[in-house]
Amino acid sequence: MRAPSRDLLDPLTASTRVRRELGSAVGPLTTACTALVEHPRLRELWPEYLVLQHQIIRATVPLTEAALESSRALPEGDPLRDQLSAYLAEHVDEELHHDDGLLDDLESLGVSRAKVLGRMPSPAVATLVGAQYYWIHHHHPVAFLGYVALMEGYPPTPELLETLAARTGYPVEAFRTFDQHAELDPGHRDHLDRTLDALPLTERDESAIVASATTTAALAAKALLEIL
Amino acid sequence: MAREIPDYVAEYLLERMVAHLPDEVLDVLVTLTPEQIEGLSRVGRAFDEAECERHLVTFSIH
Repeated sequence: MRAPSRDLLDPLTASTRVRRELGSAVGPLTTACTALVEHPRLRELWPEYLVLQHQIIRATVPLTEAALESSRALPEGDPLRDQLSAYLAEHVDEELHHDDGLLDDLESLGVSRAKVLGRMPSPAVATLVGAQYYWIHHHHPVAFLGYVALMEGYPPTPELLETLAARTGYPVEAFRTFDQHAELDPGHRDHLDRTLDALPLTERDESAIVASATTTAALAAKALLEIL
Repeated sequence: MAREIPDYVAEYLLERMVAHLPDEVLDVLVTLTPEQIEGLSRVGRAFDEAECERHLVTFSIH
């Protein structure tokens, strides 16, 4: 095979390049998600999965606020500061109260809020979220966009919801948050992609976003496999 | 509908498809003979006909 022609790849936008790199790294997460859906004890595991998602999602707004604060604190001449801050401010609004929705879903399955909040998140969850705080505070808040790229990049589909409901036998109330994300996340993903394409990203910025995205994919897979 | 695909477009499409393969898989594929690839292709067609190919899913909520 001849070497790929850079001339053909260069016109790709930043969002396409990030998504392509993420697509190459998402295999372990696909394996973990598929193993969950096909698991013979899916009905028993589904509440565990929702608890795991709650542990991750409860950090979304605080993480985005940390990234926003760091972005606003960038030097005045930083070419990313204003646009990145504007995106992050909007993203906080997009994500408000999603963790509460998961608690409602869990309550409909008989798992109390107190029980969910009393569980200590695993080291994999702490590493997944903690890596973002590190990069936000000690590198550049633009890296956080990689985390969003993974988390918003693979929304559940209506077909998946039907499969989950059929295989678990749980009522539709148990899937409200998933249903909401199936509807909202494609729009959020497009919002991020437009932002990636509009930001004056350097190669270094883009590398940071890709590293953050691929690390998030690997750690999300690890956290999920631990409950299977 | 049959289409004429110019060589430079075919090359670009090939690159895009290869970009999604893990390096480990690509390393093995490039060592296979045409006969071995044909064998793989027959297995793939058999899966298609049996309609039992595993349905992979990736999902995340945020």
